[in-house]
Amino acid sequence: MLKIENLHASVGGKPILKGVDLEVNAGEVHAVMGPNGSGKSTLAYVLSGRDGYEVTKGSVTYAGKDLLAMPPELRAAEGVFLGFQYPVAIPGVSNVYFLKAAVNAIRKHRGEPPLDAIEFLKLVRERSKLVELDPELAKRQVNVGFSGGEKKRNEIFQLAMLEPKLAILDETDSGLDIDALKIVSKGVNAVRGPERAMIVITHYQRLLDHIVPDFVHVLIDGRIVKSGDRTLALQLEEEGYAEVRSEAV
Amino acid sequence: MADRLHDNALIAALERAPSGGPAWLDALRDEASRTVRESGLPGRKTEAWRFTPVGDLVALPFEQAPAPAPATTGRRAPETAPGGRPGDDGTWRLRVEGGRPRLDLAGAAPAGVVVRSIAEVLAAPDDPLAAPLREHLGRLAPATHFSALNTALFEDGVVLHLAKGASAAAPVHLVYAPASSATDGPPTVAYPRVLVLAEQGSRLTLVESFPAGSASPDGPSCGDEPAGESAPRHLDNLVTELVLGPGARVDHIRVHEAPDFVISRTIVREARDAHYTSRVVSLAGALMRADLHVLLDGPGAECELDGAYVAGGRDKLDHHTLVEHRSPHCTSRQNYRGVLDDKALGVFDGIVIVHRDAQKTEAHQENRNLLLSASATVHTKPHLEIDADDVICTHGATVGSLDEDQLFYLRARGLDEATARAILTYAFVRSVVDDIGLQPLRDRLARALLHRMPEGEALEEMTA
Ligand SMILES: Nc1ncnc2c1ncn2[C@@H]1O[C@H](COP(=O)(O)OP(=O)(O)OP(=O)(O)O)[C@@H](O)[C@H]1O
Ligand SMILES: [Mg+2]
Repeated sequence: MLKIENLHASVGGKPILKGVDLEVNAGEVHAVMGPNGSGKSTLAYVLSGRDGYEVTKGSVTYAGKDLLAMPPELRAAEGVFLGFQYPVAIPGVSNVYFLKAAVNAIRKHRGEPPLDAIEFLKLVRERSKLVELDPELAKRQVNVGFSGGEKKRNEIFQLAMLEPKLAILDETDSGLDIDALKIVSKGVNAVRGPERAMIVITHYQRLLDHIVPDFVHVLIDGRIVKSGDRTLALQLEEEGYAEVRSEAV
Repeated sequence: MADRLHDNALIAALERAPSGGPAWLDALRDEASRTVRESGLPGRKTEAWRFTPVGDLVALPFEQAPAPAPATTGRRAPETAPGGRPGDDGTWRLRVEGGRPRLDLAGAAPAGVVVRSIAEVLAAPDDPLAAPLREHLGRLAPATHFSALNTALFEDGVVLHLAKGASAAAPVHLVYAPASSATDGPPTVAYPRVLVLAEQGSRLTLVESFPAGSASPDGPSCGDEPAGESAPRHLDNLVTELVLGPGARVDHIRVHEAPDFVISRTIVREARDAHYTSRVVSLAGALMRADLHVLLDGPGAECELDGAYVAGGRDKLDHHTLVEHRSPHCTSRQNYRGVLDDKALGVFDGIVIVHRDAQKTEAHQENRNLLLSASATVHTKPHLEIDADDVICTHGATVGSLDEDQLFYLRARGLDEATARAILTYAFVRSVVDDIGLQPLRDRLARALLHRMPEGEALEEMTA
C-alpha cells in the first residue's frame, strides 16, 4: 500500500529525514518510535503534504501512485489520514460543520453522493459513541477550549468519521490518562481491518499493549536504524535508545 | 484639490437649501451651511479623513433626488406593497427613497413604536412629536462636513418614538434606496435623516440597510452580483441620531451592500443604565464611510460596537468610531473585523475618550484584519485618550493573513485549498453576524457574508 524509498526531507533548509525506507502493506500496523527531535513528526507531515517540508531525494508510492505529487486534500481524499500530535484550534468553525464538508469532499472524490443532514448526524452519533466523545464537544468549535485529552479523542473521532485507508497517528497517546488511552485504542482498533493500514508514532510501549503492532521501527536522526516485531518496543522500554544508537553506528 | 473641496456640486446646492421651516430649524440649517462652506469638504489634510478618498465623489455633478410621486391611488395592502412588506427576514420594512420615507407604501408600524415622516411632523406645529424633534434633532453633537450638509439640505426623514416602557413588536427596518426615477440622468444625492427617541425603559431593534440592488423595490436579495463595472452614481449622505433614555435598550444593525457612495454619521446619546449595541456589516461600497459616535452620558450606560467588513474589487470601506465616556461606571466594547481582498481599501479608526470624571470606566477596543491580497490596503488606528485614573482600558489592532496551521489542518482532512481558505475567512468575521438575535435576519446576513467569500457558494452547498 505504501512504499517509502530513500526519503530525504528538509525543513527551512535543514535536513531532517536522511534516507527513510519503509514498506507498509494493507492490514498492517507499524509503530514508529524514536527520541525527541528524531524526525517522526516530520515524516508524518511529509506523508500528508504539509507546505514547507521539502523532499530533496527519494520517493513515496501510495496505492501505486506518486504520493508526493499530490496536494494534501487529494491525499486525504485518496484515504491518507494524519492524526496530529498537536491538533490546532479553529475558532469560528464548528466541528460538525467542518467534518461534514470533509466527509462530503471525500465522498465526492470517490464519486459518491453527499450525505444529507440526517444521514450525517446519524453517523456523528454512532462514531462519537465509539470514542465516547461527548456529542456536545462534536458541536463545539474545532478544538477550542478542548483539554489535551479531548483534542486527541477528537482526532480519533475524525478518524472514525473519515474511515481512511492509511492512518498516521502522531503521538495520539500523549496527554491521555489510562482510561482515555483504552477508549482511544478501542476506537482505533474498531477501524482496523484487512483493507486498512496504520503508522502509529509513539514514545510509549503502553499504547502498543492496546494497539498491537505488526512491526516496530526505531527512527534516529532521520533514519530507521532498527526494525523488529513488538518485542522491540519492550526492549526499548527497558534499555532506552542508547543500545540501538550504538548498534547503528 | 483645495478648490474642489469648496467648489463642487454638493456645496453649490447650499444655495437652494430648504428654508421656511420652523425658526429653530432654519437657524440650525444656517449654522450648518456656514460650517461646511467655511471648512469645505474634508480632504487628505483633515486628520479624520486622511485615508478616505473623497476625490471621485467631489468631481461628480450631483443633483438632489426629486421627490418621488406619492402613491395617490391609496394604500396598497401590506402584503403586496414593496415599501412596508413584512420582510422575509422578520423585520418591518420602510423604504426610504431619495431620503423620503414611503409610509404610503408601508403597512402599519409594529405595535410599541410610532414611525413618522420628519417633514410631516415639521408641518404640524401641534404634533406631539414636534417638541421632542425640536429638542433633539441636530443637538447631540456639532455637525461637520458631510453631516452639516445633511442638516442644511435634508428635506424629509424618519422619526421613531418609543414611549416610556414601550417595546417595539418587530424590528424596524429602514431600506435606503435612490428615488425610483433616478435610474438614468445625472448622478444623484440623497440626505436621509433619522431620529430615534427611545424613552426610559423602552426597547427597539433598528435595522438600516443599503441593499445591493437598490433600484429594485424588492430590496436586497442574497447572492446579488455587484452591479457590474458601471461607475457609481448615487450618494446617500445619512445622519442617524439616537437618544436613549434611562434603561432604554436599542439594538442597531447596519448593512452596507450598495456598490455606490454611502457616507453616514450615527450619533447616540445614552442616559443612565441605557444599553446600545451596534452591528455593522459592510460588504460593498465604492466609498462607504461610516462614523459612529457614542456619548455615554449617565452612570451604568453600556455600548457594544461590532463590525464586520469584507471588501473586494476596488471597494473602500471606512469605519470610524468615537466613544466618549462622560460618566462613571460605563462600559464600552468594540470589536471590528475586516477582510480585504483584491485592490480594496479598509480603514478602522477608533477613538475612546475617557473624560476626567468617568471613573470606573471599562473600555475595550479591538480591530483585526485579514489581508488576502498583496494589493489590498488596510489602515487601522485604535486610539485611547484617558483623563480618569481608575479605569480598565484595552485596545489592540492586528493585520495578518490566514493561519498556516489551521489551513493545513483543514486540507489534511480533505478540504481543497480554496474551500479551506473560505471557511477560515468566514470564521474570522462571522461572530459579528452570529450575535444578531433575530434568526431570520441573522441567517440572511450569514448567507450574504458567505457569498462574499471566495468559493462561498460551494461552501454553502457543502455545509447546508
Ligand atoms: N519548522 C521548522 N523549522 C526548523 N526546524 C524544524 C522545524 N520543524 C521541525 N524542526 C526540527 O526538525 C527536527 C525533527 O522534528 P520532529 O518534530 O520531526 O521531531 P519528532 O521526532 O516528532 O520529535 P518529538 O518526539 O519531540 O515529537 C527537530 O530538530 C526540530 O527542531
Ligand atoms: Mg513529534
